[in-house]
Amino acid sequence: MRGLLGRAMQAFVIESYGAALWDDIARRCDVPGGGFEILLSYPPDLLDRVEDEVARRIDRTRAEMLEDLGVHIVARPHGDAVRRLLRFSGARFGDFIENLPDLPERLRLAVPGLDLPPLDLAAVAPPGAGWIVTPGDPRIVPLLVGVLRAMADEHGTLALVEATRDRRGIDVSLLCAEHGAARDFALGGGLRGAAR
Amino acid sequence: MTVLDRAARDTLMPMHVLADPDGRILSTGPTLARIAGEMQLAGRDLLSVLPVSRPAGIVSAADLRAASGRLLWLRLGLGGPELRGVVVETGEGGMLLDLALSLPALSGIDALGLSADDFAPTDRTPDTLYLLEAKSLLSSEAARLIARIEDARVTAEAQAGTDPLTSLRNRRGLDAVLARLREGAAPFAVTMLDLDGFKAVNDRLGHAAGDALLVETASRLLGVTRGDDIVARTGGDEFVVVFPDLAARDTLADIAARIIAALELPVVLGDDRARISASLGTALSTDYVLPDPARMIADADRALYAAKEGGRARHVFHTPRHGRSARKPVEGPDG
Repeated sequence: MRGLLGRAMQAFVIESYGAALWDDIARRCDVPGGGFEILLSYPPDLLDRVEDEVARRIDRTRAEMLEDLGVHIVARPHGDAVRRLLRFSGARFGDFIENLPDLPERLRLAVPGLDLPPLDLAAVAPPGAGWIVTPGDPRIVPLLVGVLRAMADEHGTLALVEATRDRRGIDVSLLCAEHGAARDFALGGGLRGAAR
Repeated sequence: MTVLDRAARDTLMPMHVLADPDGRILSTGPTLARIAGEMQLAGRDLLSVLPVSRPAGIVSAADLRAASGRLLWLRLGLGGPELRGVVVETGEGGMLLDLALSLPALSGIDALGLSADDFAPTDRTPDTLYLLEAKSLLSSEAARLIARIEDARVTAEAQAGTDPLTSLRNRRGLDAVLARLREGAAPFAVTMLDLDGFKAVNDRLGHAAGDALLVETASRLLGVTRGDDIVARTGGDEFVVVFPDLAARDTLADIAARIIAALELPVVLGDDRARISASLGTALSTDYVLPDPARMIADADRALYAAKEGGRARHVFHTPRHGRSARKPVEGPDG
């Protein structure tokens, strides 16, 4: 998990702000080898340091930076492995949200050691109008806000995704289920190019 | 037995085929039709468009009916995806064949342009694809990580075998070279070299000057030896030169003389000039029945000691006492 999040941050900085900034951040934070490996674990305080340093260097609060990172994980132009894995969680945005409680276990099956906290889901009346998503660990709220926003775009759905006032949950309001075109997602599309 | 109505069949078994008692296709599920594309299925003979490859020998409608309930492997047309299926008899004497993509066929499924909606909600095919994609993502990450670690290992190994001051091989690097030569059939020679007068320069001009002198010595040694020869620094002012494919005493004596001459040229160290020389001792692999690098180094070292004793700036060959040839001992020319 830590390696995955670290790598996501590395890709976010390199692709949005340039490799030079990342090299500098990695040097200041003593990232071993200058980069994160998805398959390795890292001490939690290293990730904390990197999060703070990235936010500081791009002049954002940590929560704002994590939201941007969440969007980038799904919408990044290069290498869409994570986006594809998330698309398997539902053919439409509503299905994706309804299936969120299964997501931690699905991700654990895909990436052993990836420990996402449990995700609680409550529907808002009337049915289909929206949901409140409450993660077991409020620290992932900003990242998840970004991911859910980008997934709404991904499905061509117009939705309002905001942290709740106490910042412990996420308020998802469905405005228009079929607002635009969904991004391409052919089953098996990630298998041929996987060796790249 | 009654057949479910078409809408129910299409929802539960979107890849099914319904056939009459003669094996003629009556209808197919929407996903199978999508995979078939241009290929018309309704009205055709089931076994001609969906031949059964395993079990062998299913060539008629009667054979197919007799295989009810068994696992069948079929292919949709020539070069089409491999399918697994099962046949049940319907009440009207017809057959209902339900199909699924085989595991190998999933790797080419992107060409079929399917989405999750093309599978029954209970079908785990999309989940299988999810796990396959996760697996290929992780294995390409693992391959990348292994390549990165291997790079680091090769670098670390090279660094471990290198003397940081002169970039020559160190004792460890030398041992690796000798171990390789020992395995080979070609003859080789090992020359131990000790600088004469180094300590005096070090004491007079300091360690920095001493280091500069060692670096200059390394560069001169590389300059007067052949490209394939290996120069190592094994101690303070102690060097070893290994000559692969060389056991001719006259050639080695010439090279030793050139080394001594090169090292005796004055070295400019800042405002000072230093003059040193070197003593050398050489052992030849051809003097041993089974050349053992450690023994050759010890023998070359003894010859080096003899050179020092003999007045320095000299080269001496190790003289085998019980060598396999009765060759007379040869001594190198004075430096």
